[in-house]
Amino acid sequence: MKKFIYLLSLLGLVCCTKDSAPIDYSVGLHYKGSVWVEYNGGSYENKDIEVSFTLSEDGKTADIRMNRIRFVPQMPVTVTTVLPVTVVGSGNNYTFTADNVYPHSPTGVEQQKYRINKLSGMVTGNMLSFSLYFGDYPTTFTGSRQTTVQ
Amino acid sequence: MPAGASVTAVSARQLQQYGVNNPKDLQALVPGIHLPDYGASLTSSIYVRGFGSRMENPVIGLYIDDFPILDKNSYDLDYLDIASVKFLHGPQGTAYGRNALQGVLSVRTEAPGGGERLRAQLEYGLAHHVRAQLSWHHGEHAFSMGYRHSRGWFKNEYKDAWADPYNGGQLRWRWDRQLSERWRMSNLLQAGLSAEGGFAYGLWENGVRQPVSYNDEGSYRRLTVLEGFKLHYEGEKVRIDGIASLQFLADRMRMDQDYTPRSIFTLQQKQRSPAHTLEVIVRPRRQYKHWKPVSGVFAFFKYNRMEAPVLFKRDGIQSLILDNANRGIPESIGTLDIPDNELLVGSDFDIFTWNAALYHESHFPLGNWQFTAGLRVDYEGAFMRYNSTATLHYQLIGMMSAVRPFTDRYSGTLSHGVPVILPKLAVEYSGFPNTRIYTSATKGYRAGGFNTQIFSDILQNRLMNGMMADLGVHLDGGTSFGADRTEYQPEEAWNFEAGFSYRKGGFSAAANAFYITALRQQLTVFPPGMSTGRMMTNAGKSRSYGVEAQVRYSKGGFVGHAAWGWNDARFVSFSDGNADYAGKRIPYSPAHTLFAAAGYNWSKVSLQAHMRGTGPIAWNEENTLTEPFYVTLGARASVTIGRVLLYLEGENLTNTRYRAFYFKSMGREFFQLGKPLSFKAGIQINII
Repeated sequence: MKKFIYLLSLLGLVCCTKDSAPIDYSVGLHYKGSVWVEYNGGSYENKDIEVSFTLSEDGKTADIRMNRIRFVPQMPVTVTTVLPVTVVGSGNNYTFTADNVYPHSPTGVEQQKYRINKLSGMVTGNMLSFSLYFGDYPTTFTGSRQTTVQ
Repeated sequence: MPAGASVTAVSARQLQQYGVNNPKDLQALVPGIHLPDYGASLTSSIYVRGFGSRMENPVIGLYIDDFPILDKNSYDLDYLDIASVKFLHGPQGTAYGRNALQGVLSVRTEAPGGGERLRAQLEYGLAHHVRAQLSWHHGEHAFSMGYRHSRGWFKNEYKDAWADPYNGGQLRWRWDRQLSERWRMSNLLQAGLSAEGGFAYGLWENGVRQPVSYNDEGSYRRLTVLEGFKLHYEGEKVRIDGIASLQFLADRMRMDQDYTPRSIFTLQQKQRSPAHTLEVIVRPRRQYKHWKPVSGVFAFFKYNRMEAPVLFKRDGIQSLILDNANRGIPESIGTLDIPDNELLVGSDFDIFTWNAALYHESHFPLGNWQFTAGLRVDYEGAFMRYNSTATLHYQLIGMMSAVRPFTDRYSGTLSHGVPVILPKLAVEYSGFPNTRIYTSATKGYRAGGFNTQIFSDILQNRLMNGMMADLGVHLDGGTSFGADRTEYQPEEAWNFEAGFSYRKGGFSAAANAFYITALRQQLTVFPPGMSTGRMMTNAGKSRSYGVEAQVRYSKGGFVGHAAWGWNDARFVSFSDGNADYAGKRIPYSPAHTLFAAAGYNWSKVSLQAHMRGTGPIAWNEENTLTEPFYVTLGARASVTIGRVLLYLEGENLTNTRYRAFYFKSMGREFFQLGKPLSFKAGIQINII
């Protein structure tokens, strides 16, 4: 079901943003949405998670920063993590991937506990969406762009 | 004598008879006052009528020859050539303002002008106690110097050394001069220097007080200087008194803050504090039949540069920081490690305090009645600049492959300014022979301030949160607070009092009853958990009522003296967030103080015995730990042979074991015991 919603949202993103004005992703755009983490045969939703997408100057890589996420409900901490991804695309639409890399904290400390695999996603101006494995946890995010950062 | 208040006056002879050599010896002699003897010279904790605290501002004002002593760290000075000590009971806010919340202690030094005099005194006692004094009065000048040494009373068993040795000296020069028919001046220069140990605190474990045993240094050094200048003008229409002082305090305290043989953490606190006070008092020279006014202005400025670094040693990094931190970090995230052997948390403060006040009191005598109305408008401001920093290396094992440096700096400023209105109303009746009856309603206040001692906890908290944030990890339920929560407010109290005094021949008696309601009472509390600091907080509301009484009788060679103070001081509303203490006794202040003395003076021989009783004392807000009422006995015998006085004194003759001080650190409880049996013998020679 979550994957179906994810695919639908990807289609929606492409359709809705085709003819938008150019967007400068290098300043870091902010999105808010839900992070779904699958574990123990179920899934756990992190609501209202803020995620930022910052494109490098050469347009080849990007940092996706996920603020204060919790992988399982019992987890007594939240984690802010930055996912380094490789980017392909132009204009307002980019796809990105990453595999077998460590995320890092906002100050640059590698979070070796949370190796990421099979990350793939897309940003299309007003929407950001991706899926990945956080360690052993299949994780997806879909969010819409925030004009004001909270 | 202030209108509507009771006064306890202790003469130079009584000071000598009762073995009063410093303010702490006034314990119980002044009814209702409790001055526990513990720590070191800087710990001048004063409790009166149920109120008081061990930190920051005291609940009484101290005046030496009318000069207000601004810093409580300077209160505990040996008495050297003191002519008299007076304690003005109850709030004296209108005339004395700041901190005269529960009374004023007024100390008068011996004035020159009584002719040429040279006197020397030397005494020796248990604990290698040595005291030497020399005073010389010559014309308009009075010089005094004193030195005291003690090996100490409590052994630090870990170091196999005495924990509380003392070496200190004091110099004083007083110069009084009649400049002209209208002008008179008086100058007082006084300096004191001491180097001492202290902090003889032993762990309280399973209901047993363990011996003093800690590994790091406990010491205190202090230099105090007071330069005071008074100018009196006798004009045709007015009398004006100008009172100005320059004060300086430089001290350094080193403390093993865990008081255990383990290398956990130490504190050094260094202060450099100059201050200036100025007061002008104006009275009309004309004697009105029904009006006696007095007006004044007062101001002071004080600067305090304080450096208070806390050094966490290896055991402390493990038990206070890592164990605490790892309790909050889930195993799935990792285990925090700090491989440093020492962690220095540096805290520097620049604190500026200033005060300005305008006051007036009018007395209206009408036959046997006198009505008094007074008002003081007082404004106190304070500004603090704080700068804390710490650097460490850390690794979250399981998440990080290598150690990483981390630095936290925390700096900023805080300021506040508070106006206070201090009214006073009093009525006195003197229609009965030899009797004065009075009633009064007065208000006093104790200044607010900043909790500098809690900055170490703030920085520890910030380091923990900062390291986790550095990793992108945010702990649930983590609490933190910043400098803005370290301010505490002034304490204010209304005092309603009625009493009488009677004097006829060699008999005098005085008694009073009081009711006090206090707002924002300042209390020293220990933050819950494994915190390392203590802080001043404002308790919601409290009240106290009680009685003070004193009787003196002398006939022929017999002298008898008794003083009793009782109070029932309780919280009306006080919750620290964990518990509600409404109805509980306010801790640290005894319910009773009792003093009784009897002596006989023959022409050359004098014998005297006295007792001091104190308690019960609640040691905590819960009132679960208390000190029962205890009594100590003292005695003195002296013989005069020509110009020579020989004496023998003893204190705590029954070697009563009592606990003088209690506190908590790192969740553990500690006590300091009262001083044991002591004897000393001395000789005083009036050379000229």
